[in-house]
Parts: sequence; structure tokens; C-alpha cells
Amino acid sequence: MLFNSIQYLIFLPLVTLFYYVLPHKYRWVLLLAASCYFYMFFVPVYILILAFTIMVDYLAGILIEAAPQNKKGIYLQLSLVANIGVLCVFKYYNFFTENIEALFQSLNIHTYKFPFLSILLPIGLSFHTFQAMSYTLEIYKGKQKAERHFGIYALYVMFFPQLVAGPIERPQHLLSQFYINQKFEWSNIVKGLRLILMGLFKKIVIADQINVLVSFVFDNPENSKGPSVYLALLFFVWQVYCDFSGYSDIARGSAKLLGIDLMVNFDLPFFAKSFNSFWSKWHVSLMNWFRDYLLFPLIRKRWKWQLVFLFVFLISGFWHGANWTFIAWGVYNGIIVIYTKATSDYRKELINKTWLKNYSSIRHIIQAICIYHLFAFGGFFFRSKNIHDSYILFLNMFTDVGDSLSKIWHNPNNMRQNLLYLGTDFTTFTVLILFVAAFFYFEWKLRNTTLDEYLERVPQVKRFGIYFFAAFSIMLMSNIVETPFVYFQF
Amino acid sequence: MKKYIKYILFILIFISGDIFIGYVLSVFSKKQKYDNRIELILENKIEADVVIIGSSEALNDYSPEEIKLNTGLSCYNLGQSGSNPIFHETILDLVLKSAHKPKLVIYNVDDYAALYTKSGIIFRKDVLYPYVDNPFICKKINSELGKNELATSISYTYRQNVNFINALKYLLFGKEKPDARTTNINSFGATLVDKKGEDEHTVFEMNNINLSVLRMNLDYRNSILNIQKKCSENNIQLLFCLPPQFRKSTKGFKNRIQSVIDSTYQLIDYSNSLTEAAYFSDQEHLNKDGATYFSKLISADIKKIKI
Repeated sequence: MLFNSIQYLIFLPLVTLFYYVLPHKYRWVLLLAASCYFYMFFVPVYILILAFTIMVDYLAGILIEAAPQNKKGIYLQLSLVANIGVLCVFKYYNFFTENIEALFQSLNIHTYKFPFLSILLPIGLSFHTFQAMSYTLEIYKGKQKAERHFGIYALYVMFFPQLVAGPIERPQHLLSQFYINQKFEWSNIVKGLRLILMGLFKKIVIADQINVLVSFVFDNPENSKGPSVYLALLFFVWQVYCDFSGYSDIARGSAKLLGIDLMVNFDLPFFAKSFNSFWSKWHVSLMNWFRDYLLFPLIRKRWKWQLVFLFVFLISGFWHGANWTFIAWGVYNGIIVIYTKATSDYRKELINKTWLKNYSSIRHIIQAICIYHLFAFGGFFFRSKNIHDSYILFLNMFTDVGDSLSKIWHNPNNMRQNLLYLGTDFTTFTVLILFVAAFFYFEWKLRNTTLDEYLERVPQVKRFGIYFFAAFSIMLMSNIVETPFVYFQF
Repeated sequence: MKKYIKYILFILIFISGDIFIGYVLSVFSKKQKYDNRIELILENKIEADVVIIGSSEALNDYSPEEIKLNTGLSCYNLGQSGSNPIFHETILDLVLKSAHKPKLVIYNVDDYAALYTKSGIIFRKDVLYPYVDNPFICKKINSELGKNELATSISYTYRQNVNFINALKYLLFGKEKPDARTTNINSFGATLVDKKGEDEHTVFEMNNINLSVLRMNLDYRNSILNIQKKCSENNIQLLFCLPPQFRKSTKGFKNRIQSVIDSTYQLIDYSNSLTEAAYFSDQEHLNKDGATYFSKLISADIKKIKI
């Protein structure tokens, strides 16, 4: 079930209503049943994969806890192999076999032809697998007790608001909340609805509309030239940000209605002051996962920090998808992070020698523009269908720049429509720009506060004005078939 | 108590806003459109004995005025540029729902887009958007866009949101300017192109299109079958026409379309009846002179049909 579907708008209030009507001891049954229904809305049979990982990790958790210190590692490894095995089979099998075959073919070695696994990727597989792994890893580290209640544990993996696209929660934060007898509080409902409204605005009003512009360029790499490619890259940043952070907002809002807090997954990343701090604000739950279970252990093993960062970002790219584009995207970001980290002091010194040292606001704006562009250029890999398309688009961005700009200016044969408005028209393009500008202004207002604090502080008329604006914008712009969230594919 | 009044007020303002925005979108989007033929159908203002249905060839190639002059039958052109047979069936549905049913429907057959998917030939839902208040059109748009039926029936703004950009265009730029080839509708519904073809007229081959049965668009085929069925049920005569072309017909297409047409209906092939470049505005469309000449030809055939 998609968050941006009418079904979900009926499903969520019903679950919330029954949740508060039911006595606390039966609520986990309701939430688990609702989560199963939510997940089975996509491909019902895939619930068996979830059931498998749930059972394995449930047993592994108990065994790790009960085992003597020298045996804990064996159970942990078994659990990790089972989880990563599921990922490898369903997500990476075809990628590996295709590349092995291609490698042998390029070496003129005739080899066994691997069968192609013709199945759809189970939705949200990478998310719930990572969440399940964090459970056994935390028990192994002694930071979490094994959950004895199978239903509650299953709910930890399957909790519907964050089941298919995160945030990837930790057991310490989420499991304990299922034991709290949540009382109905109007403030939770208001806070939850605010987050859902914000998330729907980001998804429907911005991400889905921008998708049309971005697809116009990325689906036609050969014909897209100069400023069109550059514009599409800049728009793609907004699309992916609003799509994914919108999902996280709806997830957090939905959980909040039930009195449950989910972690903040996007902390205004484009107001970060460095590319490194950007990554501590973007997809926080995943980056924290990599930090705690990959980066820190590798640093403790005395790997060179440059190698650690490169490796972590490479794995992070591969986590996103079984495609060389994602691996390239990970490596690209890794290299930029290493560069910015290595040159941090030098750049600070450089700034101190210029007039910029006295103007922190201007410095911040320049930093934000640089971060935005560095992340946007990663879009060449992230959004393209394959490396060849990325390469073509990269080259085309520098092709016919003068000619395209001249055509945009003089508009022969209405060419501005393709080159500047990216397949839309002046009115549609302007409306979209205004929505993005309004959203950016709102985020700017939130940079030193939270959504709730801001809305509580403003006069009531303004607050309700914001609600109306968001609600009617959603109603006006939701005129296309519900578009799946970008991160569903991961 | 004060709290409840606040929430009731909030809901009331929301409902009022929903109705107001929806109303504004509806009115402005209708005003923005130059081509108002759908509105005329819905308001029962088309009282024609002969109705022409099809895509841009239907719109440009048939002069209802000339047909009326030659046959004595009133005629109206409902051709729509870039439209596919599913859209044509919808237009027929609207005509059949109106108070005045025609005696004869001329269905212009596009070589090869009547049975095969062709780029740029689509279900022109945008033409229907301003009339989304009509339950039949609303249902069509909902199914095309995947919009929820319940939500469209509850919220006026949500129902009308397809008109948002056009309503805005009306506010900013006023009524749309007619396009000489697609929307410059005359009082008989046709768009007759004044200019002679500016391009060099060269007869080009269309023989290399793969017209296998497997590639046939079954939805298009079903719509053509439905058009025949609906005309039959309403005692309306139906005439299929392959219009004049300044290019060679696609090899095998005529046989393919003939196999879809019931033997009780006639398919007249005019594709080679006009050969002079002066009659065409481009490879596939007639200009005003061509349309006038062709309409005389077709009038002679209409006279042979017992209406």
C-alpha cells in the first residue's frame, strides 16, 4: 500500500481508531495484522521472506544472549549470513551472475550459463533486512536484551509505517515503545497529522511533479543537451529529497498517531556547512547504521580512514541497488567526502585569508550551493539507467551550451519548452518553481527549530493558513497516477 | 466549547474553500479553451444529421458546410487532433447521450493508427478535462488517471484539479489562441487549413510498417468494434472512410481494417482520389481546397446511403 494512496488514507485512521479502542495487551496483534495487510498489498507471497528473516533473527537473538562469550559470534554470523543471503538471492543474484558471465565472455572463456531469476525485488527488502540485522548486532554487543515475545519482535521488523522505506530503527528505540500503554493524546494526533501533511506536500506537490521534468531528460540522454541536463540534475536533487524525506515524514507522522516516535531521517541536509555534515543529516538512519556497524569497526581494526570511507560509501551505494550506477554513485560520494575531510583545515585557512571570514551568512550560502551541486552531480549515476547513459549525459551537459542558451533566449519553434521547461510549458514550470521556492522558504524557517515548535509559535491564523495551503496544494497537484516512492525499489 | 467551535469553523472554511476553488477551476478552464465542441455536445447544441469522428485527418479533411450544401443533410465535425479510437468511441458515447442523435456517423480511419499504436496518437483526456463535472467524463478521466472515484465525488477541488494549470493560464493570459491546424474550429466544427503545404511534397512509402496481427492494439480494435455495435443499437448509419493521402498507403492496412469492419458497413477508400500537391497541407492532411473537393466526393457517396 502506498502512503500517497486513498487506501492508506482509509487504512490509517481505521488502524488508529482500533488501536486506541483495544486494550494495550491486544494492540500488538492489531499492529502486526495491519502491518501484514499493508505489506501484502504489494506482492502477498513475499511475506514469507519476511517471516523467514523474522524467525531466524528471533531465534538468533535468544541464542546469542544465552551463549557463552566465545560462541556468541557463531550465532551472530549465522544470522548475518541468513539475512545477507536473502539480500544476495533476491536483490543481487542477477547482478552477480550477469557480471560473472560478462567477465568470462570478455576473456573468451566459455562458462556455465547461470539461470536468470525472473522475480520482482521484494519491496523494502534492504530496509527491513538492515533493521533485523541491527537487532542481532545490538544483542551481540550486549546493548539490547533478546526479545522473548515473538509477536512483539515480529512487529519490530514489520511495523507498517517504516516497513518498506525506513527509517531503519534500532531495537533500543523502537522495541521498548511497543510495551508502553499509549494513551490517546490529542497532541500526538496533531503532531502526526502535521508530519503527514508535510510529507504528502513534499511527495505529491514537489517530487511527483519534478519527476516529469527529470524523466524528460534522463529518459532521453542522447537528445538532452547543455542547460537541460544541468537543470534536470538540480531538479533531481529536489525530487529525491522531497520523495524520500516526504516518505519519512509520513512514516513518522503515522507512527506518531499511535503514540510511537520514529527517528528523524532527514535533518535539513541542504543547510549543512560541509559535505561531511551533509551525510550526517541525509538518510540518517542508514548512515548511522553504516557508521556503527561498518565504519567504527573498520577504524578499530586500524584500516586507513580514507579506505574506510571509500569502502563504506561503496557499500552504501551498492545497498541502494544492484547496478553499477549505484556503485559509481557510492564511490563518487566517498571520494568527495575523503577530499573534503582531507582539505578541511586548508580550506578554513584559505577562507580566513579572504573577506569571507567576516560574513558567515554569505559563507553559509556558498557552502550550501557547493554541497547542493556536489550532491546533484552524483545524480548522473543515481538517476541514469546505466553507466553509458550517465556518461552520455555528462558529456552532453557541456555540448551545445551556447547554442542552447541562444535558443532559450530567442525561442525559435518554441524550443524553450524543451530546453528550459523540460517538456512542460511556462505556466506549469513556473507553478513548480513557486512551490519549490515556498517549500525552501519554509525549510529555511525551520532551520533552527522543529516543525511543531514553529507551528505552535506562529499566530493561529497563519498556522491554519499553512495547513490550508498545504492541503489544497496536495488536492490540486494530485492529478496523476500515484507514483511509487523512489526508495521503494531499494 | 470554544475548542469545538474552532474545529467546526475549520471544517466549514475547508469545505467552502474546496467548493470555491473547484468552481473557479471549472469556470476558468472552460473559458480558456477555444475549442468548445464537447461543451456543445453536453448542452445538446449539436443538431446534425451527419457527424464526423476521427483524429486530425477527420478535423482537417472534411468540410461539413460542403457536405450540407451537396446532400442537404446538416453536418458537424467532431474530429480531434492526435486522438486514438478509444477517444473516438468516447466522443460517440457523448453524442449518443445527447438529445439529438445523428442519422449517419462518418468514421475517418487513420492509416495505420486506427489499429496500431503510433507516437503522438493518444486518448485526448485533456480535451475532456474542463467538463469533468459530467459524471460520464469524470468516470473516464478517473480511470485514465487512476484517480479515486470516492475522493472525486467528495472533493470538488480534487475532481477539478486536472484543470488547475489551464485555469491559471486563463487568469494569466486569457483565452487560448487557436492553432491553425488543430483548434481553429469553424461554426461546423472543422478546422480547414488555408495554407498550402510549405514543405516539398514528396510521395513517401509507408510499406515498411510491421502490421502483424500480434502488434495490433486490441483496445483500438475493440473500440472500432464497439463503435459499430453502438451505431447499430441506435439505428445510426456508419460509414468508414480512408481519406486522401499524399503518400503511399501502408501495405496491408486496408485488408487489416476491413477484417475489423462488419460486412453491413461500408469502407470507402479515397486514399488515391486526390493526387495533386495543391490539395494537401502536408503528407497526410488536406488543405481547405482539398477538403472542399473531397467533401464533394464523399457527399456523392452519402447520397447513395439510405438515411
